[in-house]
Amino acid sequence: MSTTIETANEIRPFNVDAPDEALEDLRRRIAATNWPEKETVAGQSQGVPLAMVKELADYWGTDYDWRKCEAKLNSLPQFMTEIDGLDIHFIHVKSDHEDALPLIVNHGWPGSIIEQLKIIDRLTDPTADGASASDAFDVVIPSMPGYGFSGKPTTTGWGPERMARAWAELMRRLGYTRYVAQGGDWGAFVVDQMGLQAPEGLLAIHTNMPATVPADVDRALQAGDPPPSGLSAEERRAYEQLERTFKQVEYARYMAARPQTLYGIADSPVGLAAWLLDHNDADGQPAAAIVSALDRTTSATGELTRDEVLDNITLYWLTKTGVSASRLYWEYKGGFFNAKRVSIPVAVSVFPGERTRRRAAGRSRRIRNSSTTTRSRRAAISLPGSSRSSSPRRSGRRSGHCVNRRPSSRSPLWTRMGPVVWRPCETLAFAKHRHPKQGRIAGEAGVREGPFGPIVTTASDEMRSSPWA
Amino acid sequence: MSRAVEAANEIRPFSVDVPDEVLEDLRRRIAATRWPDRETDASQGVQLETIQALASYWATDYDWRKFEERFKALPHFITEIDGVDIHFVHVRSEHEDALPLIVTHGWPGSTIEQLKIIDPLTNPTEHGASAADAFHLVIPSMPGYGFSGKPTETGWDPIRIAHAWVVLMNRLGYTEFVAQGGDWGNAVSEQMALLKPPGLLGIHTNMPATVPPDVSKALQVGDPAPSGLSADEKKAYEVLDHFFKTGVGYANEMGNRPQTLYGIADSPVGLAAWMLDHDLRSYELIARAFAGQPGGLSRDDVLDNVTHYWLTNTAVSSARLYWESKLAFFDIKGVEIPVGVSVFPDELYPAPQSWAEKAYPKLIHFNNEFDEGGHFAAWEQPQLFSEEIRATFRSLR
Repeated sequence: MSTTIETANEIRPFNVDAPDEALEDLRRRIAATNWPEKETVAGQSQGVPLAMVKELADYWGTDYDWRKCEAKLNSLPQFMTEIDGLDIHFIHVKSDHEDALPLIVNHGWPGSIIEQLKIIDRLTDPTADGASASDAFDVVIPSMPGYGFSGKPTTTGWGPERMARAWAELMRRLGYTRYVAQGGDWGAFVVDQMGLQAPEGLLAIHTNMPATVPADVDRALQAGDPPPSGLSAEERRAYEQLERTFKQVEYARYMAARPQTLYGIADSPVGLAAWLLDHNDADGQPAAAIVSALDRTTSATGELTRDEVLDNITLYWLTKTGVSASRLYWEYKGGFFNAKRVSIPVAVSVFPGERTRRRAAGRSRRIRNSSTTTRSRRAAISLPGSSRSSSPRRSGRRSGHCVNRRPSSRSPLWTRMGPVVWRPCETLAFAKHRHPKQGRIAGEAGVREGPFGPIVTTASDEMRSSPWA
Repeated sequence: MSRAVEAANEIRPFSVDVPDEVLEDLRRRIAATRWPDRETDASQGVQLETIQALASYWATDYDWRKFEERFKALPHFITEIDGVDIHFVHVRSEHEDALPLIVTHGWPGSTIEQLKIIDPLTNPTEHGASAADAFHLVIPSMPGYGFSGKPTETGWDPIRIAHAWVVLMNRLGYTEFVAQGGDWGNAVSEQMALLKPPGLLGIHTNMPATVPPDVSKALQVGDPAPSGLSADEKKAYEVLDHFFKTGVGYANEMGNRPQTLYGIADSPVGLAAWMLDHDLRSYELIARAFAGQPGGLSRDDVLDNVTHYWLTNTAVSSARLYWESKLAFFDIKGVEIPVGVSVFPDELYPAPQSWAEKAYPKLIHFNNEFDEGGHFAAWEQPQLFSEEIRATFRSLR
């Protein structure tokens, strides 16, 4: 091996250290924000309300402490390595357990590695979390190109396909010959692509934003036609929800068309914050999990907090990735939720949103009691601690690969563009089109209601429950 | 009339006077801009090189005061209509029997779009036209734009603005008048025509809404063009199809989430880029101006307008009009009064005469033979534009 290649393949330790001046400058800019007038409606139908952004900005510009987040990040082993011409930043935490399964977890937009911090311990150290040593993972959490501390592409071509190849190279470089991959949002696109590329050693993928829409349904959605005949009630509901969702994704369409024009989110902290906050779930914008997080200063049970929301936004600010992250939407020309025909084993978790509790009150009360209190799009960030839960949740864990979860919600958590409201394990009708091996992964299991209601699992549980683990 | 009503109907003189601190603050902010990386492809939006050239000129040599002086020299007024202060420029011709004309700007425009047509239209004899072609000009700022008030409640869509303009013309004592507009100004003028207020003799539009229902439906669902279209109609269909698929993101974003655009309220450069990126042709024209080849618009024209948005803090309030309006931009609305249409070559779509004739049964003028001119026709080609206005309304005097 030549010296050049050795250097190129080098894995360098990485530490986060934002200069004091950058943090002071951020506070100064927040304090100097030039505000628009208040929206002319009550509620959120014109965008993120002024009072909500102002309250967040007040805290962000004064008491919020990035250094805490930085300390948390620096307590983790972080590295940098060049792949395909670009520096890739990643967290790499190895389990103490022998035979831990290597797992690469891919974040989305408007997320980052911060989405995944709370699942690291649970997955690498399962025995401390009431799970078995045989469920242990070695965890690799990269920042996508253009995101966080990874390099920013200076040429076109860094779409999910290329990232998928980069992740396979990363895992190979780390010496992993057998591994699995996980993602939601853009992470789901990337792991789908990994599934399609099926690099040697990739055993399976897990997605919490499955692309399962059959071709005829996808066509009808694009054309604004009524749903194809013959859909089950669940499928029909999914269709209707996708229809609504496609009307709430102008931010995505904008970034896909003109990401560079978003100079305002590069230059204005508050502009960036509002843009990142205003990601929809199926029912509205901003997503309910984010809105409720803004009022949550601490969380004993793991729900998303205001600090975590700001950690993520501040990471975008400090790394100047508002526009480079948006560019991924421009790069991607494929369909969003259409089935991609991944033929390696796949597991799917469909998380409900919060708002639908009222639609199935009795059931959702049980879900709450099962200690998984928050189900939002950001499964990994908002659900970490929930595994101190009672047995009912666990009882369903091995029921295959799908999540035994009631679609009591109209809005699964990730629902960025299209909520999936069917119960994957029970109906899997759309998924069948997509996962030829789903019988092995999900279909055989069927879904059981837990003794106290439907089973709700956490992201960590979902990972552990995989048959390949 | 009660005192309260008198006060409400009062027309107050208005003058623009921006404090020095505000201009200094603007320069400071521009100089402190935090830039993203360069685009990785030219199609990704306003290019870094262009916006940096704009910012560099804006923060140094650009002089708002030069514009302000010109602007202040015009007769400005404010009057409250339907609960909102309406700012307008009102220039009366010295010629008797001048025809009163209300001209409405669009987005991302303002009254600044119309300044260059004031003299040609009010003082035609100085511009090679006849005294019989003179107009009294009323150029209002739409609610949420420029120096007009910002609505604090919903409902200020083009229909309500149309009502307000009729009130304004009546309040000015005009019993017979005509109206003109492009972009949102077209929507407002068309709505005025639909109201058929006594005294409105006709309208002129430089962005006509002529798309027939079957074509509009095909465009919406992305179907191929209906059969039987002429070559002109097919061309219009294709341009619109491309526009709806690739060029309308800014309008949809403002139509859905205007309030989320805090970045264009807080960042001068963010605002400038957002406003430059209206449509590809306009953007190309503006980009050329900042690369040293001014065409229809100069660097100062562009920055007068952007600075005007910044100083009035109307980035978001102006965007809200997209949220308010439920009207389809280019669909036929059923205007029955006389209409004149000018189709400039770089407009969003080349409206065919056949469609214009169907959209406007009383089509009194149609012209699409221009060598130049785009979306901001009055601003880019004031001479041509003024000739179109004269030609349109000559028969209605």
